[in-house]
Amino acid sequence: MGLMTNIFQTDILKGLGVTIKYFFSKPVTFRYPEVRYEMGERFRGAHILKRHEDGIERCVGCGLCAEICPAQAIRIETSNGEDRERIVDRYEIDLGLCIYCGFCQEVCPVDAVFLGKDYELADTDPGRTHVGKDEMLAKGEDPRYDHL
Amino acid sequence: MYLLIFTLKVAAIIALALGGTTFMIWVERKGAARIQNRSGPLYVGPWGLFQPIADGIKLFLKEDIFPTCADKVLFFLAPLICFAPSLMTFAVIPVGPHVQIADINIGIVYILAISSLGIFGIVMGGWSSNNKYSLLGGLRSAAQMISYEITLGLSVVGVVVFAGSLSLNDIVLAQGGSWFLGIPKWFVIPQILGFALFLVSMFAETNRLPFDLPEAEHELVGGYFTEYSSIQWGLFMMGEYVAMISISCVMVTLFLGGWLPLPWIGPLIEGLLPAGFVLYVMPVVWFLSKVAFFMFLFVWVRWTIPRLRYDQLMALGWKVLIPLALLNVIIAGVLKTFQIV
Repeated sequence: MGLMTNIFQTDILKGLGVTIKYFFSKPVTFRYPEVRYEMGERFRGAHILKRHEDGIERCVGCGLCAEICPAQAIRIETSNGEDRERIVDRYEIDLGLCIYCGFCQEVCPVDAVFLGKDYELADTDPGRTHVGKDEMLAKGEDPRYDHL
Repeated sequence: MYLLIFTLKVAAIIALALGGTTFMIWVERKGAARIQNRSGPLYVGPWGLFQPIADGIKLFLKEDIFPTCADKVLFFLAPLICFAPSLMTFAVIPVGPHVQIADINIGIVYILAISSLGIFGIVMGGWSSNNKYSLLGGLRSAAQMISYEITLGLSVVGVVVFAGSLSLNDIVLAQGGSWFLGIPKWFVIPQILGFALFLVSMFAETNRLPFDLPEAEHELVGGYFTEYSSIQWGLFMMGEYVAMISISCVMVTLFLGGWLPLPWIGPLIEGLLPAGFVLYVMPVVWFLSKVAFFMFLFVWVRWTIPRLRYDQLMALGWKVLIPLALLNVIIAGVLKTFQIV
């Protein structure tokens, strides 16, 4: 440090210059609850179920997703209809158990289940983390998932 | 009639000081946030302007806790003693040509005397809390403020020599007119060294960073007000801000021409305004804008410079600033005697 730096304390002035530069720069704070995040294309949130164009559910109840699920969060109950076709009675996911790995989406042979964009899933009641078939089907109607 | 005007003046200046304090707390929080790339208070009122008021209400509603082993009387008195003197200095500060509560002929001496009373509050707070951290904070602040008061007093001597008066109103009036090229005849020009010394000791006097060793959150857990809660803590905090405003006012009065306008930009702006407005309001506006600069400087410096070590603080005070202040007195004397400036 030179003598002049010592006398006039130019380092302090330099520091003040830096801070004033930051003072006039835009804050990086993201005002989360007011401003929402724009989620990425491959974001993995709460599940949705899709229908075919003609309104029939895509899910055929094969149970592959329940089988591959590492957290065992998916529970499927099926029964036989009149033409010995398989009817999905229950399709339930416990979002509290789910680890959002996306295996169910990957393994699904008929492209019925996907991981959606919803992410604010916390609840004060552990019983409410179960999501049923109807709810997921309703979510699947959202235009955000039209491309799937 | 006289009494009424007097009372109104007192009320106006106290309102200005306390309103300024609330505003200052907002500026501090906002300034700190912006320097750190955050947004600061946003939700209470426009741009979070009412945040300090909300905080004040919260402090009022909180429980007053007296530590079991504390000296109750002193513990109760300390925040009041800390707060009151900083408000008392406003009595002699000329905010405008006609806006001054009392123009006493020893204004500067009064300010120096009153502002050193504030440390009693801090020392009492530290002592009566019966807590080692508080005591350390109180002792530090006593040592620090006494050391820097000498520099503060000596740097004022130069101004007094130039003005030839101890009255703050006379000091402001002595700074009227301009040198060549329209440079204002403020005492900051001949007394640049005194100005710098006053600036440094101003920070030390108000316990602000880089000299906030009495508080030293990281080592002393808040220093002298470790044990304080609710509005008693609030009084300490407000006392600090009021002291900042009052010392900035003194700074402006002594070195930057008080309520006098800038030589050419001033008349240029004032020419556009009605005469009565220029006579009564504009001086206050000039004064406040100058004070505002120093208030911002307080915030700016606080969030730039880290705290000094205790021995560095003492070394700076006794080995650098006091000799320089003495030199400044000699310079002022020489300049005045030989009519150089």
